[in-house]
Parts: sequence; C-alpha cells; structure tokens
Amino acid sequence: MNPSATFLEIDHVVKRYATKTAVDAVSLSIPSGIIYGLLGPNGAGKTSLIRMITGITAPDEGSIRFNGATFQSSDQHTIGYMPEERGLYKKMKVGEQLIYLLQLKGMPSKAAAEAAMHWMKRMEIDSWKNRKVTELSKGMQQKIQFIATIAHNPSLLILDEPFSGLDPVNAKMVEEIIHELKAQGTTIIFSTHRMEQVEQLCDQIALIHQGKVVLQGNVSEIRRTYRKPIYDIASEDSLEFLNTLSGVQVLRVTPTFVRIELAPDYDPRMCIQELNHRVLLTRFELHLPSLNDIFIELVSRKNG
Amino acid sequence: MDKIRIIFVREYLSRVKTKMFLLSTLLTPLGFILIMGLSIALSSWREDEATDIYLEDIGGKWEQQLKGQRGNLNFITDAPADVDAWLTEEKGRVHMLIDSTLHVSSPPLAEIRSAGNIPLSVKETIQDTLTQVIRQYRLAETGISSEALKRVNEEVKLKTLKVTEEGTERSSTGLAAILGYVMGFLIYIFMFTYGMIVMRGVMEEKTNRIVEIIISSVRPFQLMIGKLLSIACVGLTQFTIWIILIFALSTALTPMLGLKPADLQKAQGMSQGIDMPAEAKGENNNMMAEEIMAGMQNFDPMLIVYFLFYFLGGYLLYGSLFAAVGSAVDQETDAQQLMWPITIPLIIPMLMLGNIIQQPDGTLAVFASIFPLFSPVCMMVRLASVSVPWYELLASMLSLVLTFLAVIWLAGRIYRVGIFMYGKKPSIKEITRWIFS
Repeated sequence: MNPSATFLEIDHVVKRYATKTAVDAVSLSIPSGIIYGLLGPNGAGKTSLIRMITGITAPDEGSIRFNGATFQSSDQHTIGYMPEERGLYKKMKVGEQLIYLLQLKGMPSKAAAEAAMHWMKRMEIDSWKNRKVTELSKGMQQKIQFIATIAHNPSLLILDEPFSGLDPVNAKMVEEIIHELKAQGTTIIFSTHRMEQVEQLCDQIALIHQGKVVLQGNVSEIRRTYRKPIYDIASEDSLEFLNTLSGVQVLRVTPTFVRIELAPDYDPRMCIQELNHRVLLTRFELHLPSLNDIFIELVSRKNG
Repeated sequence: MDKIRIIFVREYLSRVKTKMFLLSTLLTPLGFILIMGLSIALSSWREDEATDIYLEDIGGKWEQQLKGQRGNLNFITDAPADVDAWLTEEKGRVHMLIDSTLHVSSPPLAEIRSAGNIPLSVKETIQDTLTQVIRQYRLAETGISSEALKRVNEEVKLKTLKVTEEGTERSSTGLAAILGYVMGFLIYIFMFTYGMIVMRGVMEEKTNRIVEIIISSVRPFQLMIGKLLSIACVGLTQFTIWIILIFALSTALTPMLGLKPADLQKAQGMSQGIDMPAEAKGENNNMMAEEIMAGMQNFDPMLIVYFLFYFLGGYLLYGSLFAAVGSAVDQETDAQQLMWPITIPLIIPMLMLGNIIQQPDGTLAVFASIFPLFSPVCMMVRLASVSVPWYELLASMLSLVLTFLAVIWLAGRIYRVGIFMYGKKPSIKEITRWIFS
C-alpha cells in the first residue's frame, strides 16, 4: 500500500438527529499509515462521525470511501473500534470473551484463540484468561478491550479516548503498541477532547466544533501557522524592568521563566539586543501555541 | 448467517452453562407440581372440627334421624344450665330449636342461634341435614322408599366418542379441557418468561455498553435475531429435559402405582364422566385414576408438535417486541411503563380461556385462535379439546408466521435506534418515529 495514498475519504458527510445536526458537511481525507487526531470538545460530533466510519450508522448525506470504494459491511472486519463508552460481558471469562469478539470480526475460532493468547501475553494479562470480567479492575478491563480492538489486525484502528482510565504504566504500554501498529502500516484515528495528549502522538489532526471541521492539517505546521510573537525568556538577573519596555507585554511570570508578547512591529532580534544590554539571558524561546490555545482562539473568534 | 451462528452459540451457552439454568430446569416442574397440589389441597380442604349443636327438639321427633345423618355436626340433647352462657363459652356453638310440626309448614322453617356469626359452611351443612331428614320423612309419608328415590335422582352418564377419519375412538371431554387449559397456560407462561429473558439480555448489553463494540462488527438485526433464536433454543432445551423427566418418572412410577398395562386396557373400555355428583366422588376415585391413565394413552402426539409451533411462533412475536422495549430503555423501571402494549394482548387470551374451554367451536374461540396476538394460547386450547378444521388451523398458523415476521422487522427497526439511546426514557410516539426513520 502506498503510504501517501488517501486511505479514508470522507466527503461532505452529514448526520442529522431529531433536534440537531451532529455532523455538518464534514470532509476529511486520511492517508494510510498515519495517526490522525480527531479533536474537539464533548458533543462536537466526533462519536457521530466515528459511528459512520465504522458502519454503525449511515450518513444522511455524503459518502465515505475506503481506498476509493464505498463502505461495505465486509469492511467492518478491517476496522478495529474502541468506543469511548466501552463494556464487556460481565459474567464471561476473559479468554472466551476475546475469542468471541474476534470471531465476530470474522476470525476463525482457532486463529482468534491464538491471537487472543498472543496479545494477552504481550499485555501481561495471560494469567487472567479464565477469570470473569467482574473480578477485574477498570484498568484491567480496558486492556482487554484494547486487545479486542487490535487483535484481528485491522487496517484501520479507531480509538476513542484510549487512555482514559489507564494508569501511566499501562498508558505507556498502549502508546507503544499504537506506534508499533503504525509502523506496520495501520492507519489510526485517535479521538479525544484532551488536546495536549495528541500533540506528540498525532501526525495530522482535524479540529471539530459543533459538527464542523474548523481546522485540519499537520500538527507542527498548524502550530507554526498560528504562532504569535510570544517568547519565554529567562535570566539569572532580575527581569522586573520588562514591564517598562515599550512594545513588550508581560503575559505570565513563573519562577523559571517570563512569558512576553512583542508588539507586531517589534523585531525579536531588536528585543534580544535590548535585553542583552541589561542582563545575561539564559533563555529566549519562541512559544508555539498549544492546540488547545488554537482551538479556543478559533472558536472564540467564530463566536465573537 | 455466520455472524448469527456465532452470536447464537455464545448466547445459548452463556445461558445453558449456568447453575441457574440447571436449577430452574429441575425446580420448575417441582414448583408446578407443588402449586397444583397446593391448590387442589386448599380447595378440597375441609374443617375437621365438628360443630357442637345443642338440639332443643320439642317432642323429640327428629332427634334420632338427625343424629343418623352424615355431616360434621355434633348434636347435644342434654340441656345446658344456661343456654346463652353455653353459647358464649366457646366459639362456634349453635343452638337449634325445632318442634314436631317442622315438616308441616311449607317451606319448613327452623331456627338456629349462636354467639357470633355462623360460618356459611356450617349453615349450609345444617340446612342440608335438615332438608334430608324432612325429605325422608315426607317420602315415607307418601310411601316412596329411599331406594326408589335414588333411582329417580340418578344422572345420565355420557360416554363421549370422537369420530375421526381413522374411525371411532373414545374421547375424554373433561380430560381434554384440562389438557387444553394446561397447554394454553404453559404457552402463556413461556412466552412471558422467555420474552422477559430476551428483554433483560438486550438491556444488559446496553447498560454494559458492550453493544457498541458488537455493533461495530455485526448488524443490529443479526444481534437481535441471534439472541432471539438462542433463547428459543434455551426454552426448547428445557422442554426436552422436562419431557424426558416426565417420561422417565412415569415409566418408573407406573409399576409403583400398581397399574398394569392390562388395567389400562380395561380403563379404555370404561365409561367417561368427569362431572360426577359430589357424593359419588369418593367412590369413584379409583375410576378417575384409571381414566386419566387411559386418557394419557390416548394422547395425540401431534399436540406436542402444535405446542412447539405455537410456543415458537408466539415467542418470536412477543420476544421481538420485548427486545424492542429492552433496547429503548436503560432501566427496568422504565421498561415497566413501555411494556403494557405487550402485556395486555398477552393477558387477554387468559381471560378468554374459560369461554374457549366451554365452547371451543364458538365464534369467540374461532376468532381468538386465528388472531395472531391471541392464537398461541387460544388455538392450543382448542387443539387439545376439539378437532379443529384444517383451514382454521392453516389460517391461524399462516397469520401467526406472517405477523411474527412483520413484528420482528418492526422490532429490528426500533432496536437499531434504541440501543444507542441513553438517558431519557423515550415515549411511545418517539419509538414509532424510529420505526420509520
């Protein structure tokens, strides 16, 4: 598969419910083999969009194409989906449950058993094989759900808030596996409302607000595009005079650095010169806005 | 199809492999026998204690005859010192005052007194006893012997025969009515209980939130059908176990009861009659037992086939409706309120049972046995008690099949939307909108 080719093409997709339009003419094209972040606050329409991608619901308008072909029910086998609200059969044994869920994804029972065992070992839960789900903690259940999502080798993996409820050790384990799967060519859609999580993880993102895509593209490019002349500076000498400088506005003072915003016509090189006259600088660094900042700005600009 | 099979197997095993299944399968027949035994015992339960009656028989004309009557009355003729004190001393004591002219007036009039209210059964016993005495007296007056009276009062017994294409065979109207009642009642109970199991199963998946994971692999309709069919098979498994149990028990018990096959042959030739006069009951107990055994030998095995058909048809119809309700709610309390459109048509046939047993070929019975919402129970009752014309049976079966297909489709439409609705309990109006969305 050509890694740069568009794997998933979402074209003007609309989903309406009785009282509101949950997804409003969303178009996205997701290349194969990348981690794609679907970001937005709760209720933005992420889950509605994902349900259409997974074939759980059908779009009212628009189309969804995998590798150029429209969605068919057999495509469900090539998708692994971990919903945000997830659950398991409480009274079923862990091993049996995994085999059942994998069989529903079209795996023969023997292959399903092998895959389940392989991943249970990998995630260090093979000793729970014959335990019932009710006996397990929430984090443990989440690991099982993760296995059920990935063990049939889907070519598209959709994870809705995969880290919520996981302790740092297990979160790291999941993150490692996500990177491994990406290296193997799996396309991963990662949906979350916690934007800081995705900045390191995602190659591309789409910001969704009230059913519409407000921004999409490469994470570092977006941050560069939306940067402002904001710098973090530090010195061993006192920086209290900063307030008195014209063209400099102090945004925030922390024990380790001071964040300033320069006037649009104030060249940062001039500023560095000015500061060098007065103190010995240990840090002068461009502050890139976080996705969260960009989102808030975009939304408030739109609403204002 | 493969998906439905996988779902079917899991749903089936997850129910059958539990201890609860084994326990309920074994205990249900016991419970049934217990309830039936209890209701028979309770209805035939009589107060043993005799009623003390101070008989003040002026002239002493009736004393001997009264004492000679059956009935649980204890006549005392020695006058207590203070009658009223004697009456209040112990509960249930009665004072009866009669004189020698009792038989003259028409109707004869006697008087009883007691401290509290006289129980109805005691009053009736006294009344019957006195009537009997007066009747014998008057008969003797006219010169008719009690032997002659017995012959006059004798009821005609009917031997009921059923003419079929294979020839004439004996039938048992009373037994057939009981069989019909039991089978109709069983279908009702099974449709209800297994329907509720379907509803709980759907709600469990929804509240567990596993449904979204499953639905990302299979279509909602496949999940619903897999579940419906597997629970039907759980029911069939239970039947099979029960039939084997009954067969094993009756084979084991028949020799213990001392009934030899020859007795059964003899019983076949015997006359019928379930509605025997009350006084004959005791003497005829033996005959009853033999008759029941004979009736069992005469049991039409096609009834089991019909029973399975109407159980499955009725279950698929109501079970899919229960599935739709289960999908629409998250809590059992909300389910109660949405269940009435299902429970009412389920209960109506139970109200008609009496009428259908009395007039199995009446207009109401024929209508109810073809109308698909009622036919599982009502047709079963008719099939057990009369021979239903083939075209009525065909119409009933056909309408049931067509209806459950339509209802499953309808329920599938509701289910598909309902399983993703959390929070607010939907109104029936909203649910109707889901069907056409």
